[in-house]
Amino acid sequence: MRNILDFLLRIRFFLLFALLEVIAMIFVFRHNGYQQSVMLSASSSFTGRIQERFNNVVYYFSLRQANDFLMEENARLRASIPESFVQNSRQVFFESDTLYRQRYTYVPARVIRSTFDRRSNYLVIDKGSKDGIEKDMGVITSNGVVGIVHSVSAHYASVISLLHKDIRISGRILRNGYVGTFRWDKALPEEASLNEIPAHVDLVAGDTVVTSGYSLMFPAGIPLGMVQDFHLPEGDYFYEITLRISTPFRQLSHVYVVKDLAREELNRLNLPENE
Amino acid sequence: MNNTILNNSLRFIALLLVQVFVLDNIHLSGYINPYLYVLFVLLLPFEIPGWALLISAFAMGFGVDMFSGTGGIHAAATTLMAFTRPFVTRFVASRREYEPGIQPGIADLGLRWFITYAGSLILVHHTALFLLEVFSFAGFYDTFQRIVLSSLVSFGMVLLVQYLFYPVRAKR
Repeated sequence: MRNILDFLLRIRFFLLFALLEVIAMIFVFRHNGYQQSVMLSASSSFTGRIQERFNNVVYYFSLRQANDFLMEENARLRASIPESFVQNSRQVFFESDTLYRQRYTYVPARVIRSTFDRRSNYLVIDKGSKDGIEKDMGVITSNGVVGIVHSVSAHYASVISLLHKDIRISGRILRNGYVGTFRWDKALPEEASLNEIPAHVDLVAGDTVVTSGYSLMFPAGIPLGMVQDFHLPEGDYFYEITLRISTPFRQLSHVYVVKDLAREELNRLNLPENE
Repeated sequence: MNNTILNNSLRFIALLLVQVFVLDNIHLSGYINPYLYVLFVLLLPFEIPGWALLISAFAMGFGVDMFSGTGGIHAAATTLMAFTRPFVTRFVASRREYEPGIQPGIADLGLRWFITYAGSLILVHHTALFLLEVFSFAGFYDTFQRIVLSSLVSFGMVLLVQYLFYPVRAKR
């Protein structure tokens, strides 16, 4: 007994080290395992507040670009409101028409922190559960997809960026309708790849890739990127495609969180193993 | 003694803030993320008991984790670095003995000592950190590149801070 105690005393430095590493690992796995811990959201509401203060200062530097993006988007939206259409036949339906049922709504949010040069990048936005944000909602900008909500506190939410090594989003090539998987396996925040496009599809550099609408996170047709480069590895059935990401991650300031009103209904359809 | 604790606490806070609000916002190409906060562990006094060394290193890493939303990878890497520190100090020869009151830094122990000491510990830290970040050995060359480049930049910053804040006294 004495010997054991002596031994433990002698290796106490190592024991403490091992204990701390285990604690750190628990945090790592909690985080990667998509489990929203109370600890994490409590801490993110504290660090979130500090970061928001800091961001309020930095915010001014990008006001000009943010304005340009918003102007551009306003112009596009203005072009699509009913007032800018003339009724040229009985075939035109307006939004209030009962033939259309609204499926998506959008919550505007400001990015208060973002990274883009890690392998796993995250953003923090200034909207949280009080604003109706929930885990697994999609986040977009006027230019394209930004990411997926990962955890939520009362006033803030952390978002897994599109620039995350584990993210997979189904993307459709707009011109011919083929669907592949979007992955970020490149080093730069401007490049990504699209996998599982079979060899018989005809591709052109410059093809637009958009969200397919198969997931419950994004509406169909949100830009993901543009085909920049592609080649067929010898003896392979699938192309290796390099995409140019359409979202300007280096200068992100305003985003929209996508609320899918049909989400609960569609979730109920899911097979049990998807839970 | 109290002075040492105060000094190190202030350094803790200053390095955390600089890391989170300044360095994390600097993006040098896609490959390089400097982590200056390791300087905190490097500069802890030699007399510090083992448990305090480990716990304060853990706290430093955990603080960075909280702000950058990275789970616990910084905490794990920094704790590993603190764990290896006593072994490194034992094996790195210096031109002076580790007498009480001596600080781990260029001022007291010389540039060559500091380069080996800081260089090896930073390499341990960055290797652990980047491997934990990808969590696989796939694409090892890419990770390796990140480790080496970021270590070099972090090391450069540590040296710079040493010369800025702890000028070498003219005595030899």
